[in-house]
Amino acid sequence: MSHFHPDIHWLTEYAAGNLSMSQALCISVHLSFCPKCRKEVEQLNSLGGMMLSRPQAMNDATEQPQSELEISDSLRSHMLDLISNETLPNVPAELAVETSANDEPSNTAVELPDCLDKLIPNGTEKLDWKNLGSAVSVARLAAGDTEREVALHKIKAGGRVSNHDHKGREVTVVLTGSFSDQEGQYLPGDFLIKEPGQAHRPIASEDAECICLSVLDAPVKFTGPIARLINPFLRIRTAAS
Amino acid sequence: MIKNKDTGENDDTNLSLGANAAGVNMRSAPSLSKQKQTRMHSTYTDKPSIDEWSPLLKIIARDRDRKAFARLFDHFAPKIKSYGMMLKSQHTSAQMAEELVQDVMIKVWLKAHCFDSEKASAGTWIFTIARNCRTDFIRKANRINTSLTADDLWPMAEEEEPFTSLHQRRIEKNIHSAVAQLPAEQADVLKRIYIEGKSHSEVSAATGLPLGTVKSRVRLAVSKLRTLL
Ligand SMILES: [Zn+2]
Repeated sequence: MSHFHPDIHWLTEYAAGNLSMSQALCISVHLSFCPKCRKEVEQLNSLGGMMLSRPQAMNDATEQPQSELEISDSLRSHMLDLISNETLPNVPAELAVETSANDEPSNTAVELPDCLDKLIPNGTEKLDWKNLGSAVSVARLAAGDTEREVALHKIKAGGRVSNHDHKGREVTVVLTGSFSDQEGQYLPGDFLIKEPGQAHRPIASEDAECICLSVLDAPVKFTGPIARLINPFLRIRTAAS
Repeated sequence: MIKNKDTGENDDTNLSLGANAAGVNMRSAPSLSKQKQTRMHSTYTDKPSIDEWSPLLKIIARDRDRKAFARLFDHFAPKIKSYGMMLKSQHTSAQMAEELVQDVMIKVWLKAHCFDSEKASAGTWIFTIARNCRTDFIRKANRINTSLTADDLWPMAEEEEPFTSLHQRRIEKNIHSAVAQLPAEQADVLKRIYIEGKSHSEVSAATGLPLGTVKSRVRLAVSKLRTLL
């Protein structure tokens, strides 16, 4: 059971489809651990359905000319033609494949949330891990975000990450194991955000390695005296452990 | 480039915007006038009690009824277009938005048999399809290199436990009247988020309201809804 949840704004943006895919991925991972937030999102989905269902109020605030939202006659008749077309399959092949594609059990040692299956098809062990010192390694994920760095971070059992700050906001979701910093201890499913200026010093628990999904708006900067960037994308350097 | 919602980055082509939730056109007139008998006030204060779209969607699934589909289309298409107006590319956003309308409505037609009114209202079902289509649309239009699709990010609630489904039905039943009780300013912010597809920062940019005000309206609205559901 998670103790650190995305706030209502994150959940609303998620339900409304207004997050980038990588941010939505973080929420989705959290939801796979958190029935409470799942329920919340269901309500927020229903709210979207309600907003979509209700008739337009004539007194709605409108900055956009009505005409721009009108559906062209050609689109309408095109749609009605399309659905009359006998050759239109009842279930498009693409949809049928999508549902069966996920049934393949992945051979991960660690059970990962389903939403990570495509990015990590062969388990976390097979990812291209790069050491960032003796205690931490990183594996970047192709989540298709051109403005954010999406990666798994792995901290060895008992490993310490050097004190670091971020130039951009960093969202982290714990996948396995646990780590702590001055704010608390984070367990699988926990969702935390570090804003620029919030330096922290994560330490993995002694009993198990900790793997987290992280999405970073811009490269991390280090605050410690020995801190240096190994390269712009390898952001974390461990203290001697 | 994927659009950066967080920075509220302005889009010169369509931040003029937004607004209108539904673009009612003449073709919607029959269904609207029918509703008006019971809905005398503005939408924010009236009390739509019955979900008229779910039965219609069931008819579409069962009878492949084109007339029923046309009615559904006339109501939802302008709203989906509004939701798609935030899309960016070298095309004009209106064209992209109409492509989105087409993607969504075809899916509605093809997948109507999957709709289960025990789990969600037609509006919620269509909303989630529109949301997922829009995400995939942006991904494809920007040639974003990833194996992720929207369906990975918003798994369908099908595997949920029975309790959740029961809970969900209660929500769906009550949410109409709950939303009707929201102050207009809060409902307006929700409309911009859900129908215009704007992030909190984009709502702030479009309305001139401080981001904190937008956030507090969302927070107030959601906690009010929570007490009403
Ligand atoms: Zn949660």
